[in-house]
Amino acid sequence: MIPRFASLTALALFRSFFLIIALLTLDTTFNLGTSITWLCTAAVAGSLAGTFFPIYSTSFRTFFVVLLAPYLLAHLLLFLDSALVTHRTVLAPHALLLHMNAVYFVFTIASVSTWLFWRYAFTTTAEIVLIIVALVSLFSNHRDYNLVDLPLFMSTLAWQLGTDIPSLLIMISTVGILLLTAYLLLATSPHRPLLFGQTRLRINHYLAKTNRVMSFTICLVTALTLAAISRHVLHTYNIQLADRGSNGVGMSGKSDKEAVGSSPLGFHSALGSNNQPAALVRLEGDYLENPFSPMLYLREGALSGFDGREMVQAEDGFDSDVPFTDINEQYLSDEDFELRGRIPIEHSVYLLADHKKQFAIDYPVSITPVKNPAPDRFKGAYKAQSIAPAFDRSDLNISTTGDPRWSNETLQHYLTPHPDPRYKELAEDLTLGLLSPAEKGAAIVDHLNKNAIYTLTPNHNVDEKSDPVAPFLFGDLRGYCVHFAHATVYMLRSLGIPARVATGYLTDLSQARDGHILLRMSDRHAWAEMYLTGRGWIPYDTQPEQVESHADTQVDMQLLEELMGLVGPEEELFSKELLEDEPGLQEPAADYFPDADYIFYLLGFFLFLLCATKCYLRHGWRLYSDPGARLRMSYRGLVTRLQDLGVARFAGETRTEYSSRIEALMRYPTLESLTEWYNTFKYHGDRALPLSVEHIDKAYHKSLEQLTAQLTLGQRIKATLNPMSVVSFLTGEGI
Amino acid sequence: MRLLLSLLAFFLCVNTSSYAQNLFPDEIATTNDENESLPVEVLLEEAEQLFIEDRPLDARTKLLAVLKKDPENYRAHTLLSSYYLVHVGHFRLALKYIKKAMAVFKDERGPAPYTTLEDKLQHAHQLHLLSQARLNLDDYEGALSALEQYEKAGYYQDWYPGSKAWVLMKLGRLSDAIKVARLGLLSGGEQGRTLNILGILLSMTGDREQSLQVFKQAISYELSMGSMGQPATPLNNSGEVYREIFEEQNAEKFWSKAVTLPDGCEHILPSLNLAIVKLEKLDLKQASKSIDNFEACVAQYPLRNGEEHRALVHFARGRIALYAGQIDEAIDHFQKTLVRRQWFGKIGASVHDLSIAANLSLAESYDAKRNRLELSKTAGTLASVKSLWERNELQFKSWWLKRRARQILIEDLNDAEDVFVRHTDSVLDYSYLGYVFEEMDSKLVRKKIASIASKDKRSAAQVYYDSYLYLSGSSKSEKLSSLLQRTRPDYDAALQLRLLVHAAAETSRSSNNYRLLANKIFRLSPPALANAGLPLPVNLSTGDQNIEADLKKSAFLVSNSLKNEHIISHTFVDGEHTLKFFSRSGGGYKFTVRGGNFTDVINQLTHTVFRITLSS
Repeated sequence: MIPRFASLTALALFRSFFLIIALLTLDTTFNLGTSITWLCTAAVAGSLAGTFFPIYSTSFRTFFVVLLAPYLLAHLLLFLDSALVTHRTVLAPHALLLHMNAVYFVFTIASVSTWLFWRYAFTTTAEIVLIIVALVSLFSNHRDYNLVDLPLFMSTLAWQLGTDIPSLLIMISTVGILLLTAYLLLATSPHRPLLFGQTRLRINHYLAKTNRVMSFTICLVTALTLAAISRHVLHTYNIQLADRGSNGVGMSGKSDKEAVGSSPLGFHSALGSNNQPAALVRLEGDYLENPFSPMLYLREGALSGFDGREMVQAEDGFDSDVPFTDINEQYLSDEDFELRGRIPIEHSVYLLADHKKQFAIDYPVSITPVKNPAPDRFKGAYKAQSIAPAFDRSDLNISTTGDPRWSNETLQHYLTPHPDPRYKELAEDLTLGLLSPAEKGAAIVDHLNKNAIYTLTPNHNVDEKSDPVAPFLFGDLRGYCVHFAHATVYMLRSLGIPARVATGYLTDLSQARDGHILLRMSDRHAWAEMYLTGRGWIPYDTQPEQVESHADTQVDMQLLEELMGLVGPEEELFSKELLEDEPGLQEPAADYFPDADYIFYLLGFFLFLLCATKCYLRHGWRLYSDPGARLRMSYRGLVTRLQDLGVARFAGETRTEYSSRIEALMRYPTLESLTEWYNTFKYHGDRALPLSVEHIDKAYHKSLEQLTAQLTLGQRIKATLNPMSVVSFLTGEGI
Repeated sequence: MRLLLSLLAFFLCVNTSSYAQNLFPDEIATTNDENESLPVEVLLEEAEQLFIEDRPLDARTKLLAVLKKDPENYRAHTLLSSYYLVHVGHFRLALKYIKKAMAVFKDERGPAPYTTLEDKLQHAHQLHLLSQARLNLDDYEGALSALEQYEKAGYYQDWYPGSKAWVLMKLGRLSDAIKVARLGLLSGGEQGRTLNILGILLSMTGDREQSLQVFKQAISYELSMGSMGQPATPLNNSGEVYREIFEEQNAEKFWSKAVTLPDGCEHILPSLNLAIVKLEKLDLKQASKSIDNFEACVAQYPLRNGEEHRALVHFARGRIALYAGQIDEAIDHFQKTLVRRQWFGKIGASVHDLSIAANLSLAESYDAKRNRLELSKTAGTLASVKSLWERNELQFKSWWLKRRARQILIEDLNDAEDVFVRHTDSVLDYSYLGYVFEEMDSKLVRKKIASIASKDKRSAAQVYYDSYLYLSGSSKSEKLSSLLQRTRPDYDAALQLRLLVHAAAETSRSSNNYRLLANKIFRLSPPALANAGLPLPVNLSTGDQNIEADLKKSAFLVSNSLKNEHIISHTFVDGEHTLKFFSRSGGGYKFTVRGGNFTDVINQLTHTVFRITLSS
């Protein structure tokens, strides 16, 4: 009993849908080089072939031969083409071979997997596991916000949907699980048609039931695991953002009062460093005078208090140059800085990740929240005006430190030394003979640059109460920015130079485009600052020569350009109509179609082969003069015609039974005499049947006349075009 | 008429500048708040003045302030387009702005032709920007269409013939391009640019001698222009022609000169070419220095981030790292090359040239990594399984990339036209190309190579074609010794290395011949041995019999013989293994590694011996 055509087709197409999705993903990711249309067609054709072929033949051997035949034929064609045809380009046959292999590979995968699907229900589970593994390995490239990794469309897709990468991955996984569950339900349903006989059907139903439970369990476990991972991922990132995370430099999530006396810096490890976009900064004017070029410091916080263990945020009255304002608040500095060598710089900040406090180029004099140009993308936006450093670094060689307007208490606050005398000893050693504070600062920084190693995993064993910097500075000299900044500040203070630790972002302006800078979490930074009279707080930052681990320094330019488009006036200025038909603005689409000539030749060759085989089957008996061979071939000729009319011999049916069935169907004993002769000839040899060629021809023509007399013209045309008899012949099915 | 227009354009420009200078003798307001209070005309003048003062970001802010007040101001759009084209290299945005400018201009002034001089100048300038933006975005048909509109409207400036010839060249219309360039030289076209493109065209059509003569004129012209000249471009192009005719010493001279000139780092090509020729000589340190110098030079430009060159920089760095045995770095660079978009409008190479070069190089890196893993010792079953999995994965990746590269080579590069050794603008590593044909039908390969070799009159090129046949296994008649004899000692060093590696891989490792080949390879380039998975024959000096067995599956082939050039000595004291690697002669390489775990120690020695450190 052949199951209903519609249900078979529906399942086959549903299966090919997964293959098409996989092919599209692979093509977008790796550029398969062969036309995706061809590959998808092969996937659909393979699924249908794997579904409908078993109706005609249950033998895998036959199925295998049918799969292999076109491949071999195509190779033969290519061989002939490269050997005989000289008018095309020399290497074109090789290119065609590559396309053909790709298409054939997809077709084989689709048909064999479908064939197995119909035969063994448990393959459904294997398929689902395979799909999940493939998806996880494909998308795992994007962990830690590696936006420039493959598949590239992820960042764009996330951007278009207005979400971040982890959320998008969770969304895709959820949709994937839903689809797989639907597939599983369909595939393991008791009503699912199976094509391999009643016995197998019963076994398969049993297996299907077991399998369904197994598959559901796998899906459930996968879903739960995914939920747990997503929870962990989001939780981790939230912790990193709010506390001590990325690069060891977190953001204070506490209220202002709670923040005093605490630090957002961590000493344990900076493994959370990742490429998560944090903010877009847009310089509104040139900053050619930047003394730290190409680096740019954007300060968010300052730690000038010392709690006996580490640097912490000081209470009100200190570090008044740092705004410490929430992102939606307005800030206006009422301080007269009286600083030389600075210029006004205006810049806008568009926050891509949650921030609690505003940050800006120092010294910010005003910060004003502005309208968020894309609320689904940016968490907030503000504009800052700063008086930025514009001095020459050689001008820092001045002898005095601190602000003359500071009280003694304030000065002492910035000079509070670390109680460990070794800091002073080392600082004095390093600065022996140097006079100016700037020179001393430079000597300390130089020492760390040359001797210390930058690593994200210093692995120092430090408890809650002991000094976390000593194992770094007096130990293995392995640490990250937090260690470097603290060590520098302690040494500067021990020399009587007011110093503090600043936190925020350090970015490389050479990665900027049109004054736009994409800050990432890995750009979060802590650095030391000293106060020079008349110059203000100046960064004394280390750039270690020995780097053991560092984040990717390259910014995702595609994302940057997309964000630039958002904060610029582009959307308002350029209508779609204006920009259409501009090839330069379209993404190049790679689609490789083989030459139309080749397709034509290939199809023509197959058609020729089909016709020649059919001709041989129908009229080949004329070629044989031996009565035995002529009888066999003429019998085949008639059976061929009957097969093409849709009346094939069933498996297990004898020739006599077949002949009787035909007689009942046609109301004439069409095959009777030829069947009888053929059986006698086959089982008793030609001596038992002394027939002449004329006898055979006469019987053949009579049978043929009887057969054709009952056929309409339409039926005859249909029979002529039907390739099933050729398929049966090529796959070695007997008559 | 054309001359008159040009003169007027010049005067208008001068007048505008002096007007602005008189109007704003002091500092120009640059903050947004201040801009809001100024009228549009003033803002436009200030923006132009800021461009002159080389403060483009301030100028951009002014122009955006203009658009805030008057979104349909075509002058602001035009200036912004020019800004994004010239200062930022953001060609998409430049194209958007100029399209808008042209649309607004047409709405205001009606369609061309225009009657007033000001409109004509504006329209001509817009068409110029349009063609340049399209050209930079690889839309050559579009660029040509803009240039044809320009010509049809009766405009002319000296840049025109050079630009048109270049676009025609990119479209493959070489004879048309030559006509335009020659005509341009007669009709007042800018000498430097037009001579330069004519030189390129002549070189492409095979007339290399005349091409060099033309470049010579171009260089003289550019040098005569003083600080306004751009001699680096014709110098670079001359170098390329010299390389094509296998006179690399001249090529090196030209490129070395080009990179020292002020305009030498405006484009990466001289530095890239210099790095490639150094690589062919296996002079890795100089190759690396060439790219370092380029990047240091680019860093001087505050608004550009070098993005437009990034793919090629990564490519060059990747090739250097691969030759130096720094495989992970090489893989990283090649992956970035494939990801980064490189615009080719202004350079002769196409996206496909770089694509196949990067695909092949990445495949080669994967092969090298796999081979090195095979030579690495693993401790424990899990590590062995992991290594096996990784090797298979690398093999699959490499196979796929080579397959893809072959596809591009055949389908997108005109039936593998780049196989023509040192094909203009190709960035292929020609010494490697033989392996690309390994998986192709040898009859096809022979046919292709024969057809190319028969057209190639350069005698030095023939050894490359024969080497392809040898390396791909397509011809059994080629003999290593005869091929090596035909190569040149310096500039074909990379090819020699490939040939030796191929021969060593085909030779039994127990044979004397293998020892000779491996030692030769090691002398040429130590990383090449490990990259190809070939162990180095060494003598072992140890008191521990087990060590020899432990060294068996490593990068060292212990075969104690007087003919071995290198010795490894092993000692085990206080739980610490010490391996010393040194040359029999006493000179050359000397390395010592120590550690508690022998597997780690031997892997560390492999890592040290078969790697070249590039930093001085």
